[in-house]
Amino acid sequence: MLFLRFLIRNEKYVIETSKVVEVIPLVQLKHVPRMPSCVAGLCNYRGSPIPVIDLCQLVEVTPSRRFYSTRIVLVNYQDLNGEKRIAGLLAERITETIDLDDSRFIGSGVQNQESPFLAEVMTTENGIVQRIEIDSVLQNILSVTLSEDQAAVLS
Amino acid sequence: MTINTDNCWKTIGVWGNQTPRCPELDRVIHCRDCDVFSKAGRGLLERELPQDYVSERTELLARKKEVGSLEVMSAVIFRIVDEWLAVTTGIVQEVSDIRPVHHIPYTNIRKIKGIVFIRGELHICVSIGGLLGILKGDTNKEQDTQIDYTQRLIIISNDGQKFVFPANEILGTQRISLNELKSVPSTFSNSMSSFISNIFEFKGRTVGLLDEQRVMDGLKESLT
Repeated sequence: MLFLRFLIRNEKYVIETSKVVEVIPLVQLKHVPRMPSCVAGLCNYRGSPIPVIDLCQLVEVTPSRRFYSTRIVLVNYQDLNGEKRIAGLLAERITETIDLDDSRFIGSGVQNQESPFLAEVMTTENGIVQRIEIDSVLQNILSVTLSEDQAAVLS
Repeated sequence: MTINTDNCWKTIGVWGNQTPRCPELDRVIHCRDCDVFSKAGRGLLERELPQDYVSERTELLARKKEVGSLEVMSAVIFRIVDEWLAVTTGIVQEVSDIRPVHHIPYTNIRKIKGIVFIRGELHICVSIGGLLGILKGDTNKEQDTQIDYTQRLIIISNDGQKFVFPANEILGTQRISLNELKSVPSTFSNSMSSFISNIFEFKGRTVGLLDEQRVMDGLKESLT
């Protein structure tokens, strides 16, 4: 299975490429007030507003640095009502895809209820990579906090 | 801002043909497959984003995606005397330099020019100009007696049947959008329009797209 690899404070994380719509450069985001700090803002994607979550802020509580390799991954996800939506994930050094054996992911042995999106891990030649559950990230943050406010902002 | 300054490839040479030779090159052959090289390349992305770049990308992303016409075909465009013609790239097997054609007696001299040797194989050399009636009987015009460096032999094959024909000039393989194709005007001579399926404009020239099936059939007929 092919995964998109990126870095959050020099640690490697992966997400499944099957959920990725497009990887775009870091663009100007419209700041949305009164949101959790991990909500980086809204980007205008081909005329529609897409919420963008800063994974560095979410995971390590430091905003992504503004580098060329800091990119926005547009992903498909299902909100709590089961509707298909697109959201953006911001992370550093999005430059590689890697092919990993899906069955070799195992539980990390540590779990925090506040971060259910940090899923299983795998050891590779280049260190341990951890998988991020996109649906979990987005449902928690976007469906609950953003969707109503987002509608208000955009109307 | 961090850039890998260890630019070993500049001093050693990317092919390893300078001494001292990098031992890694035995394994990777060229620097582009070496980790040091690719890491340095990736390092270029670890630079601060300039604001004008961000603004430009923001504006581009906000626009609707421009989808060009997806329906395109590929054709090889060539010239016979003063007519520009094209065949679909799928049936072109090879384009070769011009070489001597050995005439075969008792054949239709207007359409069959003879046999030609290409890569150790004998091919039948035909005249598309003769078939289409461009040459009006004067088949020598396709291969001028004066040296013409633009002349080529085109090998076409379809259903296992191969033919070679000379062209005075080739414009190479071009992508043609299907909505550029127009029907053949009635002013075309009968013999030509029966072998041309469509016409299109290419860089100010009107090009006739050959109907490959009819051309192949016409050529096979002239063999008997």
